[in-house]
Amino acid sequence: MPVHSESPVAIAPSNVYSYESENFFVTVNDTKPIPISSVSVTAPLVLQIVGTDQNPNWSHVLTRNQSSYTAAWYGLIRIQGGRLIQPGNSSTLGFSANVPGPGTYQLVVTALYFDGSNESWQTVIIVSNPSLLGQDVRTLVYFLGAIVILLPVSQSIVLALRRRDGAR
Amino acid sequence: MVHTLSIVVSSSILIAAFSLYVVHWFRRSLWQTRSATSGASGIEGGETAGFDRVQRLFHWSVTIATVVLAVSGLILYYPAYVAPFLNSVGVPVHSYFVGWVDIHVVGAVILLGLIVVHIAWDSFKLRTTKLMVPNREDVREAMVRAWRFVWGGSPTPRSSKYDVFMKSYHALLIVCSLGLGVTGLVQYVWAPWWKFPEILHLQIEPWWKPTILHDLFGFILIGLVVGHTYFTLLMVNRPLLKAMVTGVIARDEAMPTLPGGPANGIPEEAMSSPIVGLASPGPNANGVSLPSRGPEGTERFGLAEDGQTE
Repeated sequence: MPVHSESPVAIAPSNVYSYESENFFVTVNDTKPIPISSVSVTAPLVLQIVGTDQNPNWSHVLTRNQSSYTAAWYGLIRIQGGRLIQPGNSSTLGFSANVPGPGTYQLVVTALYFDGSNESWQTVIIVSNPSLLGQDVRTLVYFLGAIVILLPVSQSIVLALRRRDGAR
Repeated sequence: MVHTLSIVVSSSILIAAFSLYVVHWFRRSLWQTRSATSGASGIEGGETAGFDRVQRLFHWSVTIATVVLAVSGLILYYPAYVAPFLNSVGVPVHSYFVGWVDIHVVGAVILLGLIVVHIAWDSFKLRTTKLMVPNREDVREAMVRAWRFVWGGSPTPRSSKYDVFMKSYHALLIVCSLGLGVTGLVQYVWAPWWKFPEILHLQIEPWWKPTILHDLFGFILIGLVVGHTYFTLLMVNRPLLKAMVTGVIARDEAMPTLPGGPANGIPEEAMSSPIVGLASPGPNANGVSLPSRGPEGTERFGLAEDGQTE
């Protein structure tokens, strides 16, 4: 299901420059006249969800399924109004995930309404390697670091060989 | 890794520093080949003491501690930054994360102890701390060197045992070490993010972001240490490297002193220290070099062949 601009679900950051793990925040806006009692995010196994935020207003469960991870948040129902996402309001829920590398990863966000109905939206996270001037920064640092050390070392070796040859 | 310094920023610090060193190398190799290839030219004039045993032991102990701190720090900062290297040689990164915290802290405590010994030794035994304090001459020397680096010209003689770059390096080490020490202590005692899920790191981080400051100081320090290694490996500085290994330095390469002052700025009473470097020829028993005598009977400022250090 494509994500439209009027989608009540947003994920931030959706463009990530990372080698491994990142925090993501899902914002769910209740556009229906019914409160949302639970929100879950399902990610493919390659996008390993490793933790969820500790918002005291929500109880959270992290499960590993056969082909996916699911992080779910359940609103705590209190006597006066509870802590559900009320109609017209929004709530942001966070989770950490290990990213396996560059790529586009699809997530499914599901909202469970207080009347038992549910709705799902698909969203994507685009992961890129951190880069500078179009180059992977890690590669740049490795390359330049090696050059810095190799230049004087190679010069020393060349000069030593020349001196040895000159002494003969 | 959202509570840490951006990997693009940290990498930019290293890339900028490394690029400067590469430019420096090409500048001196292609534009001024004589100074680039001088140094390590022999010891025709005999040898004198360069650094005493305590100084050498301190230097190499600090080197080991710094390498341990840098490697463990990089792992803690961003495991994936070094994982390709370390995993390939069988060093665990992710699976030993908390262990790396302990290694980092132990390394920091050892380094602190070494610094205390260093301060005590140089302040109370050798009394050479003044040699490391930048002065007006250093500013002038820096400007001359910067001018010559850009526009060329005759090599700049070193003005004292430690030139402006050595003093600047030492001063920056102090600033970085203090910054790293304070921010590291705050993280260890008050904001140990490694004990919490990553999603909570931002919440436990104090408002003044000690983790980001720690990363910033750490990467500046790594840039400096790599620069120190680069300059050490240059041929022109080979005698200094040799002196830091063997303790002795060729008289021709011995460090100069400032006109009008005592040899190398060392007070006369310090000359009678019982610690004698290998092959130390005379009264300089402090592990610091003595200027040799020139033909006119005046003290000659024993510079390298082209009088240049980097």
